[in-house]
Amino acid sequence: MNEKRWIRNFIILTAAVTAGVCIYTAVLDPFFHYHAPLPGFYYKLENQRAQNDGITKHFAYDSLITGTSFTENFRTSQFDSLFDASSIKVPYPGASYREVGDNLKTAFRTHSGIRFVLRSVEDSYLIEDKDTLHKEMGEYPTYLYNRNPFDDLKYLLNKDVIVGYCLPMTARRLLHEKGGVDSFDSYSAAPETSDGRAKALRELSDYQEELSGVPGSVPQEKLTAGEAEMVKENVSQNLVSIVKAHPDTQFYYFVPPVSIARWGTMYAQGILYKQIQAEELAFSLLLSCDNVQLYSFAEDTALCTDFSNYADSVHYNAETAGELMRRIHAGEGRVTKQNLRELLEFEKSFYGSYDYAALLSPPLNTASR
Amino acid sequence: MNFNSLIFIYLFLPAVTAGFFLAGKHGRRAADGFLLAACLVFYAFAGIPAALLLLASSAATFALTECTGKAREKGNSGKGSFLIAVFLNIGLLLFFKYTNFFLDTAGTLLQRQLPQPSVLLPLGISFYTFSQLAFCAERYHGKLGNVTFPQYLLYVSYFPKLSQGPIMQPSAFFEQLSGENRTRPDAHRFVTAAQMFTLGLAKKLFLADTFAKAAAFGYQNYRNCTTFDVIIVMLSYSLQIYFDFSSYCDMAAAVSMMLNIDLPLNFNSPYKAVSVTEFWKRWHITLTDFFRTYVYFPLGGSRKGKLRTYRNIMIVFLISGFWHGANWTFVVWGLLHGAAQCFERIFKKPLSYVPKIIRWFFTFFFVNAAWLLFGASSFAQWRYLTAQLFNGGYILNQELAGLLRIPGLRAVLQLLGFSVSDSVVFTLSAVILLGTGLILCLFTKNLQERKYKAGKPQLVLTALLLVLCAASTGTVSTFIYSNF
Repeated sequence: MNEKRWIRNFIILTAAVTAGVCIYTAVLDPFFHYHAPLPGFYYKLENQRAQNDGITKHFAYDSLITGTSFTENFRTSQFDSLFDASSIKVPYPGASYREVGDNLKTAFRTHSGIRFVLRSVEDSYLIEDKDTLHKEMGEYPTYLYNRNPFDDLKYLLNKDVIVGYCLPMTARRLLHEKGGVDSFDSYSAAPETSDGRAKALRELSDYQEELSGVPGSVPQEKLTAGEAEMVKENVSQNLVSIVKAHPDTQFYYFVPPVSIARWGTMYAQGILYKQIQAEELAFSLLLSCDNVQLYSFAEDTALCTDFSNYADSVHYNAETAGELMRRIHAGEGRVTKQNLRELLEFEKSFYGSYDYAALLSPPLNTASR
Repeated sequence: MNFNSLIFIYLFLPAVTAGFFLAGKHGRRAADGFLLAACLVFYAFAGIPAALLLLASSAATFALTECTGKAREKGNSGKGSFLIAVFLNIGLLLFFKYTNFFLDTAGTLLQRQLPQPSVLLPLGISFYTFSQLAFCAERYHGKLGNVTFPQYLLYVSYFPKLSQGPIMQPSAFFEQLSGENRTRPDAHRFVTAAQMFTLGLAKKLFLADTFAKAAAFGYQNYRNCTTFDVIIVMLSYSLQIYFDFSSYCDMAAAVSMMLNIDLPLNFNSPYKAVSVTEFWKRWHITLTDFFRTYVYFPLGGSRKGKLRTYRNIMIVFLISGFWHGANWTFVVWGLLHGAAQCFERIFKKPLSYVPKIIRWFFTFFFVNAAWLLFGASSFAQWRYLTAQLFNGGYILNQELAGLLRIPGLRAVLQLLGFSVSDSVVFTLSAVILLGTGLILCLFTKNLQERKYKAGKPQLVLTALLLVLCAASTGTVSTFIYSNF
C-alpha cells in the first residue's frame, strides 16, 4: 500500500474505531453517566464510586439512603414499606462527610420533591477538615462527577468498563435474558460472616497493655479549640447546610452503633471523651434543624455487647441493620435537645469505665493471627 | 503528561505533529518555535514551578556557555565559566534529588533526627541536567558551533527525551535540527513511527505494568516469600524494569521520528548479554556513553594501568548508582556492577574459555540478583529476599501468581477439555507470561531494529492495538478502606 494512503487510512480507522467504542459505551452507559438504565439491558450495581453519582442523577426516586459502609446492609424494600416511599441506596464506604454531602447536593439538584434522607453520621469522621476526601483509598473517577465533557473519554474508552460491564450486558441481551437493574437491597450488601467476635476482639487485643489497668484509668484527651472548630465547620457545611436548604425534606441522621470492642479501642487510645465532646457539638448543630431526626443507639448496651450482631468491631450485620431501620421509623433511640445531655453522660460513664479487659480474658493469643 | 495517556495519544501528539509541519510551511524557525512552545507546554503539565526551574537553569547554563564560547574566541580557555555551569547543574541536581538523602545519612551518622524539608523532585531533572552538562562540555571543547538560546532550550526541553531520556549528544541533535527537509512530513517515517509507538505502548501497558504488580506484591510481602516466590518477583522486576524503560524509549524514538529527529538507541536487547560489560553496552546505552565520555575518559580510562582502570570503573559505577536514586541500595547496586566488570577484566582470558551459554546464565543471574537490590527499599529487605531465594521452600504464593493471571486462560483450557483449579490456572499463567517475557527479551528483535511495512494487516492491527492500548490506559478503581 502507498505509504501516504496507509497513514490516511490509519488515522481514519483509528478515529472510527475509537468513535465506535465511545458511542457503544455511551449508549449502554453502565455507570449511568448520561441516562437512566435502558430497557432490555441488565445493569449490575457493583461499583459505588463509579455508579452512585449516575444513580443519583438519573434514577427515579423520592428518598435516599446514603452514608458510609454502615448503610450498605440497609434494604430499600424495607425502607419503602415503612416510609411509603420510593428510595435508592447510594453508600460510600469510607467516605468523609464532604463526599456524602456532595452526593446529596447532586440529588437535590437533579430531583425535586425528595421526601426522606436516611444518612449515617459516623463519629470517627467528625473531627476532620470540612473538605476532606479520603483519597488514600483509591483513585476517584472525577471524570464521572464533573461537567467537563472532554475527560469523559476516560469513561467511554476504558477497557475495564467495556470488558467488565458493556460486553457482559451485550451478551445477556443477545442471550435474551431479562433486562433490569440489580436490586438496591443487594447493592453493596456485605456478605454475612460468622467471625465477628474474633475480628472485633483482635482489634481490641492490640491494646491489652493499656486495658490491663483499673477500668476508667486510661487518661482521656480533650477536644482542642482547633478540633472543635473543625467539627463545627465539617457538620455545618456537609450536613446542616443541606438540611436547611431543603426544609421540606425529612432527614433521618443516625450514629451507627459500633460494638463494645470499638468503644474499648477509643477508650484505650484516650480519645473516647474527645469523641463524645465532638458528638455534643455536632448533635447540637443538627438538633437546631426542625427537619432533622437524630438517632443514637449507644444506650442499647445489649446491642453493642452482643458480637453476634456484628461482622467485625464496627459493622453490624444485615439483621441488625433491619432492626435499626425499624427503630428509626418507630422513633426509638431518638436524640432530642431534652435527652442529649443524658445520652452523652451515659456514654462517658458507661463506656469510660467499662471493663474491656474482661472481654479479652483469657488474653487473645496474638500469635494465632 | 505521559505517553501512555489519552490526552497525549489523542490530543497532544496529533496536534504537535500537525502544528509542526503546518508551521514548517512558514520556515524552519516557525516550526522550531512551535515545537519549543509544545515542549514547554508538555513540561508545564508537571507543574509550573518545575517548568520555571527548567527555564531558569537553561538560561543560566546557556549564559555561562556563551561566556565560555566568547572566552575561547579570545584565545582564553573559558574554564571558569565552564566549571561554574557544571557546578550549577550538579548543585541543582544534588539539591532537588539528594537533600533528604544527605540529611537522612547525616542523621544516621550523628544518631539524631534531622529535619527533612519537603523538596519536590522536578520531572526529568536527572536527564536534562546531563543534557546540559553535555552541552557545557561540548561548548568548552569547541565541538559546537553557535547555537541560539531558543535552539538550546529546545535541545534541553525536547519533550520526547525530556523525562526519561535518552541522553542525546548536543552535536547530534543540532546537526539534525539544521537538516534539510526536516520540516516536511516523511510518510515512511510516519508508517514506522505509528507502528513502533503502538507496540511500545502495548509493551508498557500489557507487559511492564503486569509484571510491576507481581514485583510490587513481592516487595510488600517479602517476609512471606518462598524460593519460588522470590524467583517470580526477581524475574518480574527484571522484566518490568526493562519493558517499562525500553517501551518509553521506543515511544520516544517513534514520536521524535515523526518530527524528523532520530534519537539514539538506548536499549539493545540487554538481557542477551554474556557479560556484565556487554550488558552495559546494551542497557541504557546513552547513559553509559555519557559516563564514558565525561567521567571515565577524563579520569584516564584504561590508559593508565590496570589498577587505575579498575579505580575508574568503580568511580563511574559509584556515580551511576548514585544517579539512579537517592538511597544507599542504588549506590551498592552500582558498585556491584562495577566490581563485576573489574572481575571480568581481571579474569578475561579464563572467562573466554567458558561456553557462552554458561556465561550468559551467570550474567543473567547476576543482573537479576542486582535488580532485586535495585528494587528493594532497604538492605534488610534485599538480604531477606536473597536468603529466601535459596532457603525459602517450594510453594508458590497463589495471590502472587494470580497477579500474573492471563484473562480467558481458564475458558480456553475448559474449551480444550481441561477442568482445572485456580492454582493450576495461576501457575500456568505465571509460567506463560514470564516465559513470553523472556522469549521477547532473548529471541526477538527490539522494536527499533525491526522493519515496518505499510501493509493492510499492519494497518488494521496497529489501529486496533492502538485503540486497545488507549482503552487500557484507564481503569475503574477498586477502593480499599480500612475503617468505614
